[in-house]
Amino acid sequence: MIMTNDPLEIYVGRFQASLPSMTLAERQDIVDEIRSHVHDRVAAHGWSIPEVLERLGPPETLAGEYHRGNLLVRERFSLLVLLRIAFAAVVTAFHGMFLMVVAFYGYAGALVCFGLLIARMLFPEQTTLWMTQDWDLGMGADRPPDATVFLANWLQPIAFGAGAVLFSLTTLLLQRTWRSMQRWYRRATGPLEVPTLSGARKAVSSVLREFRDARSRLIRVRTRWQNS
Amino acid sequence: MPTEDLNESRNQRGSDLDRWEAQLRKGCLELAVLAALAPGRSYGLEIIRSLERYSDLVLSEGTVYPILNRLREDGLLTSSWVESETGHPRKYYSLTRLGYERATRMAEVWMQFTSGVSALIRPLLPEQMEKVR
Repeated sequence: MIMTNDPLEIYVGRFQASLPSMTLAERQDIVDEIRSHVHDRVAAHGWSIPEVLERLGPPETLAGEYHRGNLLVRERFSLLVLLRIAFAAVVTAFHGMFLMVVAFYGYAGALVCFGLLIARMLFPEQTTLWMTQDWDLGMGADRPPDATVFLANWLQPIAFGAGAVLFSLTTLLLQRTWRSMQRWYRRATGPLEVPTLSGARKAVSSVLREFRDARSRLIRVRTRWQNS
Repeated sequence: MPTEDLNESRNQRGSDLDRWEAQLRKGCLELAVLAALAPGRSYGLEIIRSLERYSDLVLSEGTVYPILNRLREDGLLTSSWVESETGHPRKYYSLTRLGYERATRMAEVWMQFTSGVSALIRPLLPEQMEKVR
């Protein structure tokens, strides 16, 4: 991971991360334009980069404007859009249920382990684990004569380890599921790409635009090379 | 009504008015951007400058670029990167035929709309209020 203190790079990084789903070329084009604006403002008015960035507004808000723009323009009501939203709602509901079950059992298990750890310190006799020769398990001071104590002094470190592992795994799983849920939601509310005639026309014009952009970039590079 | 409540009520009305004004500015920004490109091709900062020169529509410079991007996606504008004399490339926008037609139509609707509303709100203006008194 590259760390930087350059305010423009930090701004661009946050801006890029918040942009809605789009092609790499579109994303690069938008970012290049924002960079160009900053350099123009600095050159024309002598402002500092942080001043220019402040006038642009927070990067997340700026990226959000592109998102809203896309939604307003591209999304039109149709059966397909309705199906996508319904599918996204079902997937989100499944994610939500999974999140709830994982959170409940994961954190409850961790709580039991930590509880056992504390109980073992306060009431060592009542929290002794034992097992009979018939493989019956139990806990407490009142145990059958043929029962053998197990995990005697190991109970505390094992309870602590199990609690910590359960807590960490549950948190990790919740984070991953949450991210996956957000990805699904973004896909459902993002730009719709279906093979329609207007879509094909748009794709062709997009390819042509990218070709023109690539050509103008090539010309820029050539001009720079010739000037140098 | 206690003074604190009165001040709070005034502040609330003030923020409502600010929100309304912001929405109004945002609503006509699209027309203003198209109008700024009517004389010829221009790049982001130049468009912002002409908007600032003729109006106080630009509250945050960041609002202009997403609008330009959307208008381009709608086929109302075309764009191309051009190397500038300052050493970095600039993205120039120009109106397409569709963009010019849309801007003309929007300007007509705007004129009709504003002349109607202007006539309607005339009695609210201070000089008219003076005449009534």
